[in-house]
Amino acid sequence: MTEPGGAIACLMVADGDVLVRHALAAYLRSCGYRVIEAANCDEAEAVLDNPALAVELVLCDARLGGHGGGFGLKRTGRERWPDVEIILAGSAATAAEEAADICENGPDLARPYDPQLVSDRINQWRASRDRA
Amino acid sequence: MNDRLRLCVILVGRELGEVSLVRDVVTAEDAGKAAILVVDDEVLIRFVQAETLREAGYAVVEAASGDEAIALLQAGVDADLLITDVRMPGSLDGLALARAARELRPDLVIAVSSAHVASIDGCLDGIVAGFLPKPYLPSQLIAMAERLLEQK
Repeated sequence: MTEPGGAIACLMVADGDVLVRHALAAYLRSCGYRVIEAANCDEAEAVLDNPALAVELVLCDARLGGHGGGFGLKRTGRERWPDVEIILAGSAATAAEEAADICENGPDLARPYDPQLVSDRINQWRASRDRA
Repeated sequence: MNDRLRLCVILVGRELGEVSLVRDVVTAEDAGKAAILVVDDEVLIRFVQAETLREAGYAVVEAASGDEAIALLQAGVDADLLITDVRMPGSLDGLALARAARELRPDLVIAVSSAHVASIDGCLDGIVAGFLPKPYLPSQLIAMAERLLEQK
């Protein structure tokens, strides 16, 4: 997926389940995105702290392993990486545990991932960003 | 079944514990390419390694640990060549991964890469086919992959 100006959007998939992470990353690469894979919070932070990688959007398991989990990463992201869209994926049970502190609506995407919904969500983000 | 539907089935199946569904995860774009499984617990090294090999025309699968690599192999993910770091946390370091991977996939070509092991001579005779000392140039990584896959 080529942005105006020719740059390919860079996404990160952060999930502790390697089979889910691999399958989703492979699908997104087939859609034309450049995809970085992270297995836990430490890896995700290392990637996001590297501006050369220019990650624009993160698809993150709400229960990502590591300090703070997916919700913690999103919370941290508001201050450290404000230009990065972090989309959490999880179940209703996960939302009930964490939503009051972070986001009143809970995870943004259901997990297991529906590829069409993932693609739609990314397109929505890009459209709103381009309008801004 | 198109790639999108196939992925949906795979991901739902995984949530239900049906790991065998992951076998068919190869996308149309990767079909026919030699597949390389890269294993490294350093995310930035792993990413650069994987992107270098993708740009060289290979289908690449990434694992952050020996345990993840074995999970991928057990699930039936395509791999013609395994390139693994040696020192990794978890229950399997690179050398243990090489032994376990050889048992799972007797035809898998295995190479190791490390900044800490000067040579693998004498280690894992008959299991490890190549060694790439870190740091290395992207061209060296590609040359090793080409050489090992041609020999297969």
